Amino acid sequence: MKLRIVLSWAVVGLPLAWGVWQVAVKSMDLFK
Amino acid sequence: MPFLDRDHSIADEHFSRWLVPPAALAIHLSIGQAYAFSVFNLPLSRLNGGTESAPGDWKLSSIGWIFSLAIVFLGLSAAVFGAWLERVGPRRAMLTSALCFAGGFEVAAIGVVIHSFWIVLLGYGVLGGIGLGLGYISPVSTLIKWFPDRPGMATGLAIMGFGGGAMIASPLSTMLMAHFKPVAPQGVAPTFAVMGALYFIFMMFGVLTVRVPRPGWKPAGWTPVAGAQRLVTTSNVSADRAIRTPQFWLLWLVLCLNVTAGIGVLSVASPMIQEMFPGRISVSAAAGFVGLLSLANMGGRIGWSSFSDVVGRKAVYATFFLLGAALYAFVPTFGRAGNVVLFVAGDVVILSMYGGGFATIPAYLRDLFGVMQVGAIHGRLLTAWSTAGVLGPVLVNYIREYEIAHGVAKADAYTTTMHVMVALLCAGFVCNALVRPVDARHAATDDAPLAVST
Repeated sequence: MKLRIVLSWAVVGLPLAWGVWQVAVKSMDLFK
Repeated sequence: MPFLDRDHSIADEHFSRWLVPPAALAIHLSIGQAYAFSVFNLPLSRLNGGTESAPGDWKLSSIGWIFSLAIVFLGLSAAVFGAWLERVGPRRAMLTSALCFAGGFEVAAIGVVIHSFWIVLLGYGVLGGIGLGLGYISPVSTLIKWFPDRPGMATGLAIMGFGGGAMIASPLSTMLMAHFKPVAPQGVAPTFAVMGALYFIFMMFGVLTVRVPRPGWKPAGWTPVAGAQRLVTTSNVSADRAIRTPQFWLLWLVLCLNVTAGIGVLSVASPMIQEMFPGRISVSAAAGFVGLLSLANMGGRIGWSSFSDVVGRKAVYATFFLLGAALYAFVPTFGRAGNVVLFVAGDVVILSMYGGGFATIPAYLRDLFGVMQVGAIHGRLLTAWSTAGVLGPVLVNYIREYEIAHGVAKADAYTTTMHVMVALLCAGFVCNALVRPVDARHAATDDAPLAVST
């Protein structure tokens, strides 16, 4: 069950982390 | 298909409730794409012309209706189908949402190929909008039932996904359009088709994972603490009765006013910071500011709603309105003083509270009306969002245009708007302060007391 929980969170967490990273990088332009 | 029935989605005793938030996130991360629809606006306006609009191309003002219609149908479908959702359970509702949302993309792709604006409007705006509404409320109501000990955190997790969905969809759409541009005008139609398929698969992960708790289930070691918070009910109110209570309409106003204030800033964020700091903030820096606000919006959803589990829903909304009013009053001063850091920080906090307002409202409803039909009640309350979606941008834009037309400098044109927002937030504070426990006569059962009074 623990493995299933980890995998389930990875399925949604990885795309979300990718999206957040894209926006975070873009928002750095404000501080340049 | 019996597999989709509520009875067939009841969790067995080995099921962990921590599998439900990923199921909810799969739905909300998908439908959150709606907030990134604007990346298609320019390409859709140049399908014939290529680098610029040509005769026969759709106007940007018309294209704006696709998103607006989707949000209107989000509110309508959430309000209309909320009771159905409670009856059939989350699995069937989430599958219907996936079919509508992904189907909306496919219909819109056909509309782009045959260059029929009405088919795009019908596909993404109507069909997709219904998918948005069903997808928005079904995981929220399920999570509240799984996390009676932390309803704010649970709903915050799901609704955070709605904010995060745009962060995935925006770069993904841009990449797909660039990839398909050599084979289709602006690459829009194949991008719609591929995104529809991808989102359907992703949402099916949620459909297959979601479960409802067994009747009488509660977290191990947890017992409801009577009198812990004055507004928390131990009984249930039906959706039809809930909308006849003053509490429902007070919360409708609370959500509407909080969202109006936040949307007002969000809709003009890029031009506002450029006009308030002329020559200091470039276009790309302004885009960075918008990105930062998106992160604050998303972070506020999980942060403030989790905080509401500790201090109570009423206290959190009181903070939104008081702190929000103070920040709206001072943000123009920060701008006039040329202080970019304070200006940005103020707007970041405002947007975190905008997101927090969305994420905390389902738990507030659950506190007042119980869990029985919280999805249906939440659905009906979302009409406040549709109203605010029109009210916020209209207020900001019209006041700004009026000010500029009357000789006010662009940098100062937002001051009146901000002060109007202060007034709206003060009204929201009063509405929130007037919220009292729901009268026991509205309870679905006669024997249980509705509110646990202290």
